[in-house]
Amino acid sequence: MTSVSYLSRIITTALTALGLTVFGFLQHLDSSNSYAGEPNDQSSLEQQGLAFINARCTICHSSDLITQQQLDRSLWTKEVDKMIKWGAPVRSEEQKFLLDYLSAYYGPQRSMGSSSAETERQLAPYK
Amino acid sequence: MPYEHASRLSRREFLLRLAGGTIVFLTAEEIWSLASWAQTGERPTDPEFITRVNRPQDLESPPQWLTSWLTPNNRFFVRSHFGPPSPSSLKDWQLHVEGDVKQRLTLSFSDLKAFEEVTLHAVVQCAGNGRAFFRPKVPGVQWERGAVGNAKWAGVRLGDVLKRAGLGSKAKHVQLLGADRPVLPTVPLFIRSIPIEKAMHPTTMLAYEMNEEPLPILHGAPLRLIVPGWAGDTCVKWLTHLTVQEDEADGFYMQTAYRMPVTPVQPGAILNPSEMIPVTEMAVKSIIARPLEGAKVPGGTVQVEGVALTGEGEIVRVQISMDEGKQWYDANLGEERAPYAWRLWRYAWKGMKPGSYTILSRATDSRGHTQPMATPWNPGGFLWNGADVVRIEIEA
Repeated sequence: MTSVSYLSRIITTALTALGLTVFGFLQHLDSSNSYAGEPNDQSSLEQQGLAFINARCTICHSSDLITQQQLDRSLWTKEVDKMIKWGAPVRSEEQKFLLDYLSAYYGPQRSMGSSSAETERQLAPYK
Repeated sequence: MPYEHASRLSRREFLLRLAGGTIVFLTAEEIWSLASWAQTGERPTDPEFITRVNRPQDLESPPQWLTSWLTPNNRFFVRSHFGPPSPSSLKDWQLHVEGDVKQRLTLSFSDLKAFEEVTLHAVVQCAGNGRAFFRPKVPGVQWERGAVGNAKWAGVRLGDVLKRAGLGSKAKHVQLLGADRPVLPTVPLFIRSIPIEKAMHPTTMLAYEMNEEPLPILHGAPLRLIVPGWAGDTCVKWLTHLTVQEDEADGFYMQTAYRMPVTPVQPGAILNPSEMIPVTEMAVKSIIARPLEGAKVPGGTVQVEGVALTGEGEIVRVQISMDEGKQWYDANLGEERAPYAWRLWRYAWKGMKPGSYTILSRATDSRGHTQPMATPWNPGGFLWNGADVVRIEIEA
């Protein structure tokens, strides 16, 4: 039992560290982006979008579920509508910003990591 | 003004909200759950899993694991809708059998063990395995090859339990509910149902053992459904409620999600769920485990191997092509076989000269169904079974 409670303590400590790291990261994003008005460049949209999904969507699921998608705006709209219906804390005036971000960074044309590049290569002869 | 809301927040309010999001990582319940799982003594999942989703966990086996007859429990893919329930909610676990039955039952784990025990080998494959290969892309977990495993399951027949309760005159479907719950109460529960004929089928099982070990918590302990031949969306984990009823289950996970068009549709088509039917039986399929995509291998003999599976029926043939499908050669099938299990296969490609090659594999089952070159597109990205494709370099 001693080793088990020791393990529990390690897990708790690790989770606390993870939480603080994420919090620190988000705080950093907040201090580097005042959120005052329109973003003046794409990187600002990217950072603010990432901060937004980390704050609102990760209540239920980690952000990797979002960032692995390659969807056009109409499919993203369906997903966002579904999530709002299910209780995601996104206000109606925030939806355009969220959809701009999701369609810009997780759209069908973006370049993918190695795993999906593999998929592309595999499918090339059959397109 | 896209940033209107954000710009109106005070810095303090904004930080509090971020903290709110962060605390999700740290709820007492979650920490307690993790600590309690540690106490179950289960082996942790293999760190080499491909993590498709971190929370709730969706873990994919890398292709090179698909070379063993039985998939070890800690290497068996994990699909979560909400993640495992907290152990405290399972402490006084009971299975409730209700609805259109002559006698409602409330069964403890030991009550359940009093039924005749059955064992069988069966593949469990996520309905969305291979979703990443559909074009145009569809939403959902982007599984490639490894949301599939083969295990030896032990448990009792669902039909025996239902017979004990006695079916009423309107018993046409059995609704299934587990103990897992979403973070927000506004999210629909994972409620599924199967037709009564499938529920009464002698192989449909309430399983409590996996590969001769108690069912692990990630795989549905203490009890999950196993529906041999059908996709994993029906194999509900952490089962607590069986409701016999006249209609298919209501709700998102039966009436909207996990549905497919009856006939092929134009890629990218938008369909109403009512124009589709629930995903049921798996489709014939082979998967190349080795060599890996992009591998550089020495010339001479190249061992190509993997698994093949189907829904109803058995795998009778697996073929390999190295010339874009012009010529196909029969692979050797593994000796281990069982209805609803997968079949290992292997092909020794001799005299390979340096160059780039594309290896294709396709399987055929006992009903004469052959794996197609590509699967017709469907909006949920379900039941991908296109011929598997791996590109390799033979080195000089």
